[in-house]
Amino acid sequence: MTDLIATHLTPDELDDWLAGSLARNREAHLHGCADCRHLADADRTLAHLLGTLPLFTPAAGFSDRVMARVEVRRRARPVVVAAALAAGVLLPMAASVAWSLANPDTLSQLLQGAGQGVGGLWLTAVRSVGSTLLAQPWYPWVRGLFESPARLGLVFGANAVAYAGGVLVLRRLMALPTPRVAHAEI
Amino acid sequence: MAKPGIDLATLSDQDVVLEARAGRQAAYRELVRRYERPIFSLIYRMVRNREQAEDLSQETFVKALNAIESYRPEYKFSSWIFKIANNVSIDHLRRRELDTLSLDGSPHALTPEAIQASALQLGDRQETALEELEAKELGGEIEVAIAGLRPEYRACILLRHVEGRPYEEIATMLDLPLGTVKTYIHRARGELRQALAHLRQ
Repeated sequence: MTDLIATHLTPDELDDWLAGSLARNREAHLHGCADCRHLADADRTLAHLLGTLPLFTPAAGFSDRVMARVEVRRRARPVVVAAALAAGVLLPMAASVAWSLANPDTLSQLLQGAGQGVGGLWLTAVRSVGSTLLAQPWYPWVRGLFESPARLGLVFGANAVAYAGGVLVLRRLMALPTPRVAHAEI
Repeated sequence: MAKPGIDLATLSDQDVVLEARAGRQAAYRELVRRYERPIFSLIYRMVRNREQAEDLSQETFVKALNAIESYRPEYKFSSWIFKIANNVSIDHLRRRELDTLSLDGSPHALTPEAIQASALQLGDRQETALEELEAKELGGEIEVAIAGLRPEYRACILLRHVEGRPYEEIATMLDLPLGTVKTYIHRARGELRQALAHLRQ
């Protein structure tokens, strides 16, 4: 306590004094210390001088010059956005349902034809991929891997390790840095 | 959001920003009206040239208002725009060396118009002719002393004692640690005390 009373005020304590929140024991030091009192008075005068500095006014028409370079954007209101979405999605859906109800035969024929076409295409694609795979020179070696349970376990183990490693790397890559004052960055 | 008939001057900064985001041009003008003098004063005292201060103040408002969508309302609008103003000023000061402050106009001004444009113009806080004269004289001394500070100190001391911003807000505005802001302000006060010691005597 005695040490605290004998020690000169720190800059932070001078701030506290200016703000009227200096601790009582430090006030006691201030009253008894001519150096600190001189410093505190000087700071108070300075703060007063700075606080009463005038504000300057830019030349007339400043606001107009700023506005001439500002792009005023009208943001769509949520109601308008919802209405646009409804018009873009719901109306075509409703029209489609109405047409289907009015023309069930035509719809049935169309679906049948499309189903047959898609099914045929799918079968051809699978056959083509299968025959291409079988013709590859590495196919017998890959097939050999799956013939013994031990090899199969090894393959799945290696896959799991590679997958876990990939996930860890992605998590590190996708971690965003934390900006110190993000709101003011433009 | 306020109805079209509501007086924008009665709204908080955040509400005026919402109006601006809705595309109301009067809200943009209201933000300029509120901050043109504080922003211009800060920049003027930073760069010490009226013409450049006008340009940089314009740049500050244009940047802020064109990016109004990126402003986050949980922060004070004043902190945001002062931060932009400070960045603009510091960038400018880094680009070029500036001449010392002159109440009578820049020594580099060649025409009477340029001299008048670069001269400091006091605001309207003074009440009488005598007070205006005293304030101008005292203001002149202190303006010169502020001009002698390092730009970092200058920004901190102006934001603290002219704008009355708390230390924490200044640290956020200037992207500096709180301890650094305190150190800058204490050092700036020390230098100003020395520079103005003759006034006290």
